[in-house]
Amino acid sequence: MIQSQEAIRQCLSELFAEAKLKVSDKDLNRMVAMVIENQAAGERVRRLVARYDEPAFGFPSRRRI
Amino acid sequence: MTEELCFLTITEAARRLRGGEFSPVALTEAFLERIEAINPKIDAYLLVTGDQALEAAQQAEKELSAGRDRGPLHGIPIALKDNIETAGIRTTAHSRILLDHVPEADAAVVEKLQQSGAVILGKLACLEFAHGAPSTNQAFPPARNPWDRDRGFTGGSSTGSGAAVAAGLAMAALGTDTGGSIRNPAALCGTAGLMPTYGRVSRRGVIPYSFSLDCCGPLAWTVKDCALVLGAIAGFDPADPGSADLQVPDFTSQLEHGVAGLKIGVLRHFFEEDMVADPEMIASIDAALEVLGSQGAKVSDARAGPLADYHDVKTLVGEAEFFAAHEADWLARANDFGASLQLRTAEGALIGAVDYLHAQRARRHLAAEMDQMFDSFDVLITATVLDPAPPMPRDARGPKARKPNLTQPFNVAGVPALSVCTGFNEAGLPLAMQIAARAFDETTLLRVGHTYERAAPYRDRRPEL
Repeated sequence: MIQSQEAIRQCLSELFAEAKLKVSDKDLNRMVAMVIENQAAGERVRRLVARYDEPAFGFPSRRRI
Repeated sequence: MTEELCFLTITEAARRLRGGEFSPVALTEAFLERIEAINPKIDAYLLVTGDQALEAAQQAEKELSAGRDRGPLHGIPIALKDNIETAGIRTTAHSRILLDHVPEADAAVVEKLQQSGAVILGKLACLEFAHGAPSTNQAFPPARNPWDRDRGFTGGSSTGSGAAVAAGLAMAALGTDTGGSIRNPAALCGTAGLMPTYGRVSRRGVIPYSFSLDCCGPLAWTVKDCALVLGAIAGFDPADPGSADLQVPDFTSQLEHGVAGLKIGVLRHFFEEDMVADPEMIASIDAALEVLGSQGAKVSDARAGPLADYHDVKTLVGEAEFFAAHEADWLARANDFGASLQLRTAEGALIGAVDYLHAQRARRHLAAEMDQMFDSFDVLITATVLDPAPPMPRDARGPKARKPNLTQPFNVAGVPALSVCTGFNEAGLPLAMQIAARAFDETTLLRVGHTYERAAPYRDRRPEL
């Protein structure tokens, strides 16, 4: 699910605060851009998967573990 | 004499050890002497285990004298990337987080090297947790490329492994590879480097980057030496859920069979369309293909999916799994991570479960497509890297622009891939090509690499240090 830029910023800020990291606005902007790029990658991967006929995908049979 | 011994191949050293020309102790002493003299110039080693190495060499000497021969690595000095755990010896993964980490047990590959009689010289630099980038706030300096130690990057993440082998500070080194971390430093440092098939070599005791992508394999001066090391470390391990329960073949058995009749597919679109490689790199690969063609291989162009598809899958899977592996340390001690990983680690936390799952689904299809290509070709060849060694990156806090690289497709597909030196550019920096084969067919992969290496004149040149 694509999140808004503001929601991503909020989420990252909370995460960095929990990790006790001080992050400049510039670095935070770069991280937001990276998360947005990863979400775009997620969208592309969904389109890629949709191209294939996939009868099943799941946890491997216990016999294969 | 020291330099002469340290620049021998494993094959040649093993022959001369058995001929009584020198002993394992003399060989190990030569390496320790050279490490002391050269390592301060390139920082390949984080820790030299000289006493343990000499003890192992003495043991090898006794055994060989008594006629107990453990095989081609017996008495051969080898070093380990520092994300490979060693019992009683500090293992840091080049991170402040693990400065006090002294494992109780050896990694599976270390046990296997010891069983083969290898002499372990020490622990090698890498990118932090096999994923970060060099930065000045780290506990150790970055390894430097012996071909251009003032400014050249070794490639990563097995930085010290590439540097040590090229500089004659180890006859071979183990590295790990999640998106190219064996093959990139092999290419930029002018060595051979082999990422085995996913599951061929146990990761038990290897500090993880990505559970479903990580592989462990050798870097050595020659392809044949990589085959010898792979033979020692390969094999099923029930303690590694990714380990494949298969017989280990003799990886050297077909090295001298040549390439006549083999079908070679060239993934030219990877380095001429999807991304554009340096002209000297392309020229060196074309020259290498001519060599293989002149040896009787049938060379033609091949086409896989676009590099970007593999890159998306590798990024989503790798970053999410990296966070899963390192979340607790990052939350507790983020300020102790190097500048690069301090911020970048967080991106994995924000990759959605659904995106991760779709990436794993896509991965299965991309792997199946690549398997199909091996119905038409015995091996695939492409570039390993786009450019020769770039300047050392420094203090890149947080994310940097990411581009698809040429090594990731074979991690995503889980097939073996080998980087081989294809010469040097005008500035004297190494060039390379990458050869990939179907899953578990390292034997053919090594055969092609060895045939090329024997026909090309690039194994006589070493960096001046």
